[in-house]
Amino acid sequence: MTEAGAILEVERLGGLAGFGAGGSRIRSRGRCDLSTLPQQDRTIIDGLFGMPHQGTTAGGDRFGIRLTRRTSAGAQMAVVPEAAVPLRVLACLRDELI
Amino acid sequence: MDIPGVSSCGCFIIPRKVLLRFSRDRKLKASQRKAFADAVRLEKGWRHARAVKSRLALLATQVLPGELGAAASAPPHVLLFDCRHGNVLPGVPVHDPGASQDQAAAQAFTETTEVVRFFRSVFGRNSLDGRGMALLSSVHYSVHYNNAFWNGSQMTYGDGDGAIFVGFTRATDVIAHELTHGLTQFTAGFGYDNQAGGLNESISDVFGSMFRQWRAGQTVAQADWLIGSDIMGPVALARGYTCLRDMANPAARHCLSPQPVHFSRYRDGMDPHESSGIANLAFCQAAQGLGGNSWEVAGQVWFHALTELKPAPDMKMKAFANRTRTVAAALHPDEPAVRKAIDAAWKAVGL
Repeated sequence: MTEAGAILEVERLGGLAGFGAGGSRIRSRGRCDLSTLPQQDRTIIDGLFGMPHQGTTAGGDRFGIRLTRRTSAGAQMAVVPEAAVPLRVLACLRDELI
Repeated sequence: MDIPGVSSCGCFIIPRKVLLRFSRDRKLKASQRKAFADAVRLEKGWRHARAVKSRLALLATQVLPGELGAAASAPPHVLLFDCRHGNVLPGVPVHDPGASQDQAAAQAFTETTEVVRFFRSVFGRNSLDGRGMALLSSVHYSVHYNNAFWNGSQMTYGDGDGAIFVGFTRATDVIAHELTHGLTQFTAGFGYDNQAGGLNESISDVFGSMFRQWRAGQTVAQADWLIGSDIMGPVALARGYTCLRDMANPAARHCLSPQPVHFSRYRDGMDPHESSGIANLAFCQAAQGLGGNSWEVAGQVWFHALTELKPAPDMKMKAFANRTRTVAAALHPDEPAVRKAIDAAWKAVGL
């Protein structure tokens, strides 16, 4: 069962514009309360943690998604292909110039 | 196939280990576990098919006898699809895209067709694989999607959010940049990490910029050497950002993503869009040193360096620099000025 108040921080990396690259002026970040996600999405998110660093899939200029899950037990991080992340989680992302 | 957690998110690439775990999760219904098990079998087969397709394409370019080459000389089909703001590829076919009222579809079709003509007339290359493979492009991907990408099989374009970026099909260099990822995939096969990743990205910027110059009939002196200037939205422009990257001045403040200008600043783990600045500057300086049109001499050297040698997924920047030096000497044995310009350009960036 997902801990109440557990937060998932989400960040897009890469893409044609180099989101999140060193010195880049463009970021795409968001956060969502894990307990508000449907069970299916929480199950997918659970499965993405604990895997080896996956980054992007084949091709060029694909986005990678960095997920950081914060609970009372601490923080876990994973970087996964954008296509592996539920759309409801991606919907929390906001692109911005910094 | 209706797979729990897959259809709802539109995902097609969930790691195999994750699918396996779900297929054994007793908290799920039997029908759901079976669906995940089916997905495991499908995923393995799909990845195998994709790998075989890439290897077959490369093998065909190496071993097909000359007489069969004629069968592969027909120009490629250029196909357009509309994602209708969803995340499923390729989307709905667009009929007669060149005459479409949908500006994104018409732009993607027209410029992809021109990239085909560019590769063919300037470099003698028939499509990305050299054998006339069909080129698929999908427009209107997702909602306010600030990106375009090559997924290993096709092109995909977002519409931008209208603030930071406008539609990604508006930029000829972006279209050629993405298609060139396919060219790299079918030739040198540079990976997407570390130095090879920086080279992969640089090759796409190089051919993207060359195509933009070719379309505009510009000499190296007339070119602005900016990448992505035509997709910058009003908010980005108001903040003084005129491009994604500047091949002539990679560290410039008007770039959305400034880059290093010397190999001494390279670090493993850098985003390839950051490390590409080093080789970008080298190409720009080589082309400017030679004068005329970028695709006539420097572009030919880069093309031959990319396409005529064995695949090198872990290529190092110094090795690629030396490869261009060797190709320049081979293509221009009686023109020391060509070798000198290319050598000087690489030395200027520390390679």
